[in-house]
Amino acid sequence: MLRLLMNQWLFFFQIIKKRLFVFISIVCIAEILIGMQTFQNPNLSVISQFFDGVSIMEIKSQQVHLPVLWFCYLLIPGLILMNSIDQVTKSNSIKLRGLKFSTLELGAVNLVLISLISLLYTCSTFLVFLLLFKIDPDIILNPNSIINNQLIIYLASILFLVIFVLLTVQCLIAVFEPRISIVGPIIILIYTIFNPNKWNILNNTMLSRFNSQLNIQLLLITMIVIFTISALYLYLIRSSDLT
Amino acid sequence: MNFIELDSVTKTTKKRNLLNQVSFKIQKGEIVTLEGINGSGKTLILKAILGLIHTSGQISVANSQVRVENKYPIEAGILIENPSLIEGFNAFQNLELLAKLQPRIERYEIYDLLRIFHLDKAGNEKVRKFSLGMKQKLGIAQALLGQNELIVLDEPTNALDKGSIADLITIIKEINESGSTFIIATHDSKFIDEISTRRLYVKDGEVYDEEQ
Repeated sequence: MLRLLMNQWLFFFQIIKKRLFVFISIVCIAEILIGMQTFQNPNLSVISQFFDGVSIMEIKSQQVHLPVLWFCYLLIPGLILMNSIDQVTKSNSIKLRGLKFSTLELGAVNLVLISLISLLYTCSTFLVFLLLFKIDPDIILNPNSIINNQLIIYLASILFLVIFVLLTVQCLIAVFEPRISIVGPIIILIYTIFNPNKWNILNNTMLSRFNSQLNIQLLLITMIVIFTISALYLYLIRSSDLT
Repeated sequence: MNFIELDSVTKTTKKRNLLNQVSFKIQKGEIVTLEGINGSGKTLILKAILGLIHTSGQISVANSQVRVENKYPIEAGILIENPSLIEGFNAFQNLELLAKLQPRIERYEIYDLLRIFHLDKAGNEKVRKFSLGMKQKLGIAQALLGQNELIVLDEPTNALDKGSIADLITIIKEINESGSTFIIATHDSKFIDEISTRRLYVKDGEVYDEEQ
């Protein structure tokens, strides 16, 4: 299985490497530039610029602004991925089929690839946040906000899980129509911006909707969603043609 | 005992029948060629035999039913459509990557194949700089690596020059003598004349043998 993963990763990386470097660089540069703007400003932090999002109050007042940085941050992994998982499966499955790998194994490896890309994206972008924090802690944490170290770790973890969910949804759509697969994450993100549903798993990616009382429940729901869509993805991969 | 058996295999889309009640048998050690014009259904038959697509009817290989959701019953070397290669690797590294998934393969087998297809001359050159013919030869080498029980090639002579086709014929015959069964889809009749131990004709999703 590990050898299969290594083999698939090399093909996967070949497809996404340019997009991966370009988009991660763009996000990192944006973080640094916004970090420079918030430098020595006690009322602003780079984390809140990215992840404040749209509060429930704002939705109820019907004067919603588009949280551009939040939207871009969560959409970019989808742009990096595009339909690359589908491409890897279709180009390699024929050859791997002859080596007695099952469709279930190929599907499981695809899910690991999705989690790797989610992890790589979250880690590299949060590494820049950490770097900014080392330079000036006020850029990340400031006395006038709710942000603290524990919240940042929680935020990074929940972002990793949510990005995994968004990318898996994208891959689910790609099983049927690879060219429009990015539509899935876009719809979910727009729905989150304009809908105050308190059980939406993306709520905790927005600091303005952060509710410490619902943390555990939302984390639990996120895990259930991950399990369900992973099972659905494996089922679809198993029951669809391999070419 | 039949090595491969197709019984009333049918593949239908909303618009038309792509495969229509295809039935034939292949014995172990045969070199079977599927001949037909573009779009006749040759590649689809190969995909059905390999369990890459859902079909109705029965397909069995080495006495096991072939289904998309199950593992393939035997090890098979396959080249269908374009070879899947890592562009940033050289020819040896590409074959080595595949060999890592089949631990019984020795390094010397990789060198032998590279030599047979004259890819050893490319040295450390990356696959992205290869010509179409070189990529095709490397794809064929991937399929032949390990001399699996079954080897399936789709249009193997595409982009190959005369010399390379002659090399391909020699190596196919050699591997066939060691017990591998070949199924080759092609419209290159000269190549078929040289290689085939049995010819099947594909027309509009139906298969005919020589007598028919």
